[in-house]
Amino acid sequence: MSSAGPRRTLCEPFLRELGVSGVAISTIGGIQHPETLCASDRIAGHVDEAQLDLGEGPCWDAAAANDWIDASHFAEDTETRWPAFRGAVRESLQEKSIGGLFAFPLSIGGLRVGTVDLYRREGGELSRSIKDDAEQLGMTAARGVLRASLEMLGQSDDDDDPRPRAIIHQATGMVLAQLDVTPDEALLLLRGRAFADGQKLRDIARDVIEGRIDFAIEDGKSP
Amino acid sequence: MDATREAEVIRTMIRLADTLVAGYDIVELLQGLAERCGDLLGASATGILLAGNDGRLEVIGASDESSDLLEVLQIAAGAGPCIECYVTGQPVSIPDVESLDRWPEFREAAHEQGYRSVHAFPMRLRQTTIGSLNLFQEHAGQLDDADAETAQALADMATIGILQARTLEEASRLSTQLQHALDSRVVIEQAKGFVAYRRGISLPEAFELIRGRARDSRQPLSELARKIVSREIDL
Repeated sequence: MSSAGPRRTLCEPFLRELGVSGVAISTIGGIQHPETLCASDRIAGHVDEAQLDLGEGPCWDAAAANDWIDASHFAEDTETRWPAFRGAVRESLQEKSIGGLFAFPLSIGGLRVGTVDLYRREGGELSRSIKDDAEQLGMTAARGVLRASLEMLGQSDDDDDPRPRAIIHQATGMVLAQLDVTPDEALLLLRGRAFADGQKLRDIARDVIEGRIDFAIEDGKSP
Repeated sequence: MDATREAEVIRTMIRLADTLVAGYDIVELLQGLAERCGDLLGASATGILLAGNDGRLEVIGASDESSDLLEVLQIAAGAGPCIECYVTGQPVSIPDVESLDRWPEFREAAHEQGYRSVHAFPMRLRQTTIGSLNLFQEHAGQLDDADAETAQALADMATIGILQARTLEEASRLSTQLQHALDSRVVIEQAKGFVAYRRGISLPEAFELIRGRARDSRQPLSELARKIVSREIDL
């Protein structure tokens, strides 16, 4: 896939900044058919793949809860969640490759776009400050995931309406005032929202202009 | 046409011709023209549309920035007199919107906004049509001949101003130039949205604010708009 390069770089800041052993980012819980966008190593790749195959695991739960899901002692018998997923991971990986497994959702302007999972070889809680840092990095990653999702949906912005697009540009400007994003990203967000809601881009634009959608407010609701 | 109006038409012509020599901003030129058509031609509202690279008509200037006018323009640019004028390169006159038997969506939108008649003039030089100048009236009826001629003359002047001395062989450069103008308008629309949201004001109010600031600081509207959306300046 031509965009595999930029997608792979999505994981790097997490690995570099958080001192975790591995990270994977997927579109689980997002607007796009769930798939892995990047995995920093083989283990992280397996963890994502197993969750995608089985439809269970911390990423799914994080997406459903719109919050962190911690499995601080993933390898211990005290962990009873996701039996199929844990079984699959145990089968494909060496015992104790993963001590702690953590997942949190990615969103931008209240629009869910995907999920990050982080693992550490040793078990134990992930501190609040690491989580804060992860969420900070997640804000940047969310834009990359949104971009990747929309790429998968196709380049065109599904606005085949022959009428002028002033309304879409005005709405883009409003999103720029609501979130710290570029014009391209603001438009992507409108497109993403349109896709997620099954609406036309123009209708979403009108909702933004008339104040029915405010991404700044919706952003506040996300973790 | 009375003497005052005639003088005003001549001044506007000179202004349009000025663009042939001076450095200019197409968006401001057309925006200014759209605003003067009320005084010059007694139009209730005026909208100027230019075609982009994809052949889609976009609003480049409007006499008022109300979403009502833009809405009607948008519909008329999709299926209505504006697009027909652009496609045929001929003026299209709808003396009474109420008796239209085609373009039902346009008829309804015009009716809702209180426009009874519409007159669209092509912006054309020889074989090339680049857009349309569209006059909206609150009453039914044809434009009188003098007004119609003046409107077409203004559209022609503006077209020549935009095309400058470019030959048709340079059509690709022309489309680049038009696209550039339309891109400027995109940024202006974004800036309107940005300022409207930040200040809690309407889009037309935001436009007035941006334009006032552009004039005060003597910079092109599109340049100021770009600075607003890139957050270089706070308005």
